[in-house]
This record gives sequence, C-alpha cells and structure tokens, in this order.
Amino acid sequence: MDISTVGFFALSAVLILFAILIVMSKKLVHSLVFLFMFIISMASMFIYLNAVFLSIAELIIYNGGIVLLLAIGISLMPEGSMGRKGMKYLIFIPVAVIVLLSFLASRYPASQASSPMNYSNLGMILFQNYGIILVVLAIAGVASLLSALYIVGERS
Amino acid sequence: MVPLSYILFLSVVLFAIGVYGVLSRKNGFGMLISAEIIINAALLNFVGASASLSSLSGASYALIILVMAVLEAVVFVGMLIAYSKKTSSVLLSKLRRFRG
Repeated sequence: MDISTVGFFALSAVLILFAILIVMSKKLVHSLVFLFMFIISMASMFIYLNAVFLSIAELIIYNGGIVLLLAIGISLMPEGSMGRKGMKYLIFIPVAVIVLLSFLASRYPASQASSPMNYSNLGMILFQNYGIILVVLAIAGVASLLSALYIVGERS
Repeated sequence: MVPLSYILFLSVVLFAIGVYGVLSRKNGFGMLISAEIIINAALLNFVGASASLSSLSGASYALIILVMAVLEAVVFVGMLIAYSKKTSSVLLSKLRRFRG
C-alpha cells in the first residue's frame, strides 16, 4: 500500500468521522463546528483528487458563506443554544485537519501543466460547453437572492 | 491514484449518513446541515469521476452544483426565518398546523 492510498484512507476516515459527528451532535452549534471541519476535510480530498480550483471554491463558498449564514440563522432562532461546555478538545481537531491538509497539499500538488486536469483549462471548458447553464445559474442566483429578501422581509 | 470504486464507496457512505441525518432531525437547520453532507457526497462523486477519467466535465458539473447548493441554502434559511417568525420555532413538525 503506497502513501497515496494511505492518505486517501486517512482522509476518508476523517470525512466519515466528521459526518457522523454532524449527525449525532445534540446541539446545532456543535453540528455547525463539525460541518466546518467536514468542509475543510472535503477540500483536502478535492486537492487529493487534483481539483484544486474546486477545493478553493468549496472553502470560500461553504466555509465563508453557508456556515456563516447558518450561524446567523441559528443565533436568530428562538430555542438557540450557544453553550460551550465540554468542547475544549475541539481545538485539536482543526489543528490536526489543517496539518493533514498541508501535508497532502505539499505531497500532492496541483495538476501538472501537461495534465488534462490542468485547471487553467476549466474556464475555457466552462464557457465553451456550459455557457447557457452559467447564464441560467446567474439568473437563478439573482432570483433566489430577491426571493429570500422578499420572504424574510414579508410582514405576517 | 486510488481506484474509482473506493471513491464511489466513500460517496455512498457519506450519502447514507446524510440521509440518516435528514430523516432523524426535526430541526430545519439540522436538516439543512445534513443535506450539505449529501451535496458534498454528490460533489465527491463528480470530482472522483473527473479525476479518474481525466476529464474536466465532472469538475464543471461539480462547480455548477456547488453554486446551486448555495442558492438553495440561502432560500431555505430565508424560509426558516419567516417560518420561525410565525411559529416561534424551527421544528418542521409544526408544519402540520398549516395543512389544508
């Protein structure tokens, strides 16, 4: 078993562990912290699979957008709980995940220039083959933003 | 590079965990967090196939799905906030009172 397979199994174990912790956590805030760790682990798995651009997008969109949005939503909910007892050990988990991520990113760098998975081609492929989908996606994005604003701002 | 079957198996396991989370939670935010596991399992499927077949189509689909997941989450959180204004709760089991 080479180092590549060992790294894959280690990352898989971390992913499954965090997924189980997300589902099993009683408090939503704990689930959110585990989701944060899960996304970092998934980004490292994407780096392992040579999808560097997608891993960066995942980190920015999920950890910068969705987790923050969910944190704000949870803090607004009536029965929200922000207890922190018994979670001191969690500080070691992000450190371990980030060390693992750094190791994998240095051990398996981005795709080589000669590889067909070179992500400098991604923009060309996206806009040549899926241009219509991207336009529809942009319209859907504006529609969802406006609909969310309308729903939240509606007076009962 | 590991075989594609390993990645697909991992994706299936994550998908099953996510489905269990969606079905076992009563809280709307908990369901959304569990749904994110399912979406990430689907993304892993696409990226794994893309890496295995050396094609960027899977990664392109994954990027599109990623953006769609964000839009879905935004609308869902907005609906949950509006729902919690009316019911003072985010437990989706209270949706029964709106039946009819």
